[in-house]
Amino acid sequence: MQPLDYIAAGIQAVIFGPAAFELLGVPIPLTLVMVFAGVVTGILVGATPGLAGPMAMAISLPILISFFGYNVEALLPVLGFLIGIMKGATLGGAVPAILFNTPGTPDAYMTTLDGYPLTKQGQSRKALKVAHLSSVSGDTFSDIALFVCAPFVALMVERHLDFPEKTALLILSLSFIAAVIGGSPGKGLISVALGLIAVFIGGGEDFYPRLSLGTDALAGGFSIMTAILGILIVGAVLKEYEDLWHRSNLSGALERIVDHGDQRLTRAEILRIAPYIGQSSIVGTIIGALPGIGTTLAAALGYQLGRARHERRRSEGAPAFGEGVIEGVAATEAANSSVSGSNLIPVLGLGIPGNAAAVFIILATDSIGGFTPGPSVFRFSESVVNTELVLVFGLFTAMLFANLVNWTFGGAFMRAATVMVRVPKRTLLPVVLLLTLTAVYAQEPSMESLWFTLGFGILGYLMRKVDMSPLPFVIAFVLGGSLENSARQAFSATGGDPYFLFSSWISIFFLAGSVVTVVLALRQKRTDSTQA
Amino acid sequence: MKKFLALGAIALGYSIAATASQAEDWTPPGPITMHIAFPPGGGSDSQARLIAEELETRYGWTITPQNTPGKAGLIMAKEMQGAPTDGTVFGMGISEALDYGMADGTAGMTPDDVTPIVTTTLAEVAFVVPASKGWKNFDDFVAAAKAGEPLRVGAITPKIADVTYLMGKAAGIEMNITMVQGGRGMMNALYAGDLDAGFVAGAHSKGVKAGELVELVSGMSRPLNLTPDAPLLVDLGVPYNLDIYFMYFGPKDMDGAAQAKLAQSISEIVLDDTTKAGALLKANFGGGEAISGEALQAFIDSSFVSAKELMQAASE
Amino acid sequence: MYRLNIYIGSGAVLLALVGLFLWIPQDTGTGLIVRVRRQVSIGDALAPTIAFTLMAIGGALLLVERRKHTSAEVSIAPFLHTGALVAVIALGLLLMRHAGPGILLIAEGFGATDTEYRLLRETFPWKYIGYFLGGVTIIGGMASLSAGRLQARTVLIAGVVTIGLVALVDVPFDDLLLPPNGDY
Repeated sequence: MQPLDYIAAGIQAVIFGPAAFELLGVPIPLTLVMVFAGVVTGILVGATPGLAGPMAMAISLPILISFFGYNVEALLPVLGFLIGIMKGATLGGAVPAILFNTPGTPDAYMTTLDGYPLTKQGQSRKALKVAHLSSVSGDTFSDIALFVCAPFVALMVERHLDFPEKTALLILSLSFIAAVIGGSPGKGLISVALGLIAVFIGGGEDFYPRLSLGTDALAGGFSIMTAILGILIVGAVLKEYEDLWHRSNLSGALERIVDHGDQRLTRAEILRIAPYIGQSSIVGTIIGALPGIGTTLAAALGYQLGRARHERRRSEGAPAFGEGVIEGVAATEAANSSVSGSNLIPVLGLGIPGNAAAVFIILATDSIGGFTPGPSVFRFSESVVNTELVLVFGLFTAMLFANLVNWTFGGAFMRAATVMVRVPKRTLLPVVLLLTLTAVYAQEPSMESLWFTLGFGILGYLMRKVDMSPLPFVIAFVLGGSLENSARQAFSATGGDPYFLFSSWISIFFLAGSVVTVVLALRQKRTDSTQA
Repeated sequence: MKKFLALGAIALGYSIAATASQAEDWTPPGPITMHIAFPPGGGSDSQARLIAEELETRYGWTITPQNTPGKAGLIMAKEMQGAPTDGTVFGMGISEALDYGMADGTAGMTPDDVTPIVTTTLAEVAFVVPASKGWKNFDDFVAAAKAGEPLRVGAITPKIADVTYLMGKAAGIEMNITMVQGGRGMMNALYAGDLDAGFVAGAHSKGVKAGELVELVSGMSRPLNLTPDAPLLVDLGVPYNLDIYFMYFGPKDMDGAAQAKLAQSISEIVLDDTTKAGALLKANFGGGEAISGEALQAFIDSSFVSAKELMQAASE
Repeated sequence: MYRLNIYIGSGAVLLALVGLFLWIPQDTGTGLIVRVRRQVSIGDALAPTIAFTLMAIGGALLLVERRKHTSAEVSIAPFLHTGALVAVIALGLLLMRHAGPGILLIAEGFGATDTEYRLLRETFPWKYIGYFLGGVTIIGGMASLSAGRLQARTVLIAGVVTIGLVALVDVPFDDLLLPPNGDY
């Protein structure tokens, strides 16, 4: 098949794939239904303070898999739902930020700065419209970057990287993540090390399952589900619950929102915010493509650049950023939403996840099988059909459809999602916990896995408690296996060369890069603290 | 059905005749847990799940499939220790778990610690190279290995690595043997050019039909389906083979009637091309192959002995 | 944060030393490198050794990083609160695991038919007993703990939500098992 045929086949896999139901005799494709459901779920979850997109992805994944089964046909509907959540959640996160000054997701914090003042000025609906427009534009821009870049990244990798270079690239990604996240390279490294140790338990090539302390419980190792759901969700629930306790009973008597004046977004206003959206989209897309640094940084950077631009142009007496200007909302929302497409570039191109959402995409493909994200996906083979490539184009189609849903219905759902702010956290969080445990059990039916999940939850809580980001742990856990395998393969394939990592300039470059990132981060940290 | 070997036929006939009356009236006393020694996803996992589905529709039993992967099936074998013996717990894995996996004693188990039930098929194991290399037969491969750098050869299980090593030793060539993750990992590495060759157990058939891969040697004790002219291991001076069966086994001292009923009903399904499971086996392996009863026990016993010898030979 | 970093840093170094010199040497099948089939390969101990080394480096970096002198003290009370939460969750899990078989045992004591939980695990009401009691304990217990009082309303909400989860997870999905039914 030619490249164009692959694209066509991917679109067909979505449109002519299995149908969910028939509407007036027309079969409605299952994948599209799932994407739609995902976006709606995502908006609701994003709008609920205390819940985040990755949480919903994590809980729904095992249930979806049990429903659709472990076969290739399940991939597009399941991934479609997950991607829908991912895209919906960034949109939904803006709702409570604008209306109630509480960010629904951490990356929406910057949105409160201008969104809430707008609400107080009686402009809440306009602010929501700006958030919607900017968020969806940024997202679409980012997706286009993904479609263009991922195949090239993958082809470059496949052409130039052998086992040793692939090992070095994994080392570079891990040290980058350790150095960048959490502000302290020391804590980042500890987090990475913990993740690696956890994944190495029970593994190995010898018949004796290593580090299992002779027990059968550890012989099979920790499953990826228990580790990741424990660290990310149970840990977050415990920490949130503690914060809730700190604040005692902050009963939710919410203010009434009164809008007045014209809520329409005029053409002139759209033209006014367009450059902010453009600038933030580029920033967000670039940040999204780097592993480890997430939406929160993108939003902060987008906001700062937007403010600088606004200051240069602001006429005397006009409101500044922070006083309720639509440019402020546009700058943050475009930036945090444009992360979601490009963060799949390292996933699809290299098989390396850059943030929590991407981890669940990898987890989904890993559990279902038939699709291994990484460079080999993009083999445009002509004689036999590379089904993985067809799936990638199917995935792209699903992403475009999710954007379409966001463009058309997103605004209405955002307004409807306002009710989610009223859900009491005190009841919601234990329900999330029980749902998580149920989901883990669905995937892995043994009480042992629930105890492991709780154990990882306690670890995740302690890490959050001491300001150690759990994300390096998660990514190290996901990549640890491939890191060891590619190192083993590189070593054996080079005939036992102990210096295999230094056998080519590319891998020396990657290794040097990893040392440099850690050293730079360390120096950065030092200057920061002397200033402080 | 066509490759239904005499051995299997005799065994099946035997087991059905001997225990037919017993098997007739066995029904599981409760819901069944069926372990699968493979990670969810791949072809082996679907094979097991389809068989479970068919058993449920045919007999109205309740079966919950559960993935218990790891250490080429040893983790699942351990799971069988202490499991109820009334036929409500059993699992599907590969015969290598019972022979090679238990041969060196680290596992603390022998094949006697489980009850073999029935095989579903023989994995189509072949030594495969990418067609782009231009090697048409094993001699070309050997010549290339002698001419240049040591070639990189992948192996998906330790037993396969041992046999690969002995094959190289017999041919007088050096190979850098590298462990890879499953058939899928092997395929990716071969296509990407990271590996030059390797034994694959069925994942390669599509590539061979498309002319992208070439089979050089049969790893089984019989010729390959797609390349019947390829030599057997024994022709290359390797006195071992890679006859790896997909098979069901249960805990030690399993109820005889349950064992017989399961063997009978599973073999009927895998030998029937009209079932989903049978069709899958037909497409991937050329058909089902159901060996049970004493013939299966004899196969396990002899391959346990030969696995010990293989381990010894490969460590010399 | 100043003291805290010292604690974490030295803890990490200590843990790394235990891993490197006690756990790995005692508990891996092969060493750093291993000779198999006349070929040197990476052994099972190498990867964990690197991981623990990273941990030691991380801990050491934390000890030498220029510290911010803040007076932020970590108080013990929140830990106790979270400890109580974890205890409630653990209690819920234990109930989940043992409530069904336990009640069956009691029922047998009163002369019900002699059978095993394993064989009843897919029949109503046995399949829901553990999950329901455990779920109500987790949701009701955590919410009450956080509110500082036990209210009938909380327990009622917990019960309704748990039944809702059963309806969501068990009813539509045939192969999905609720705890503890997969353990048999």
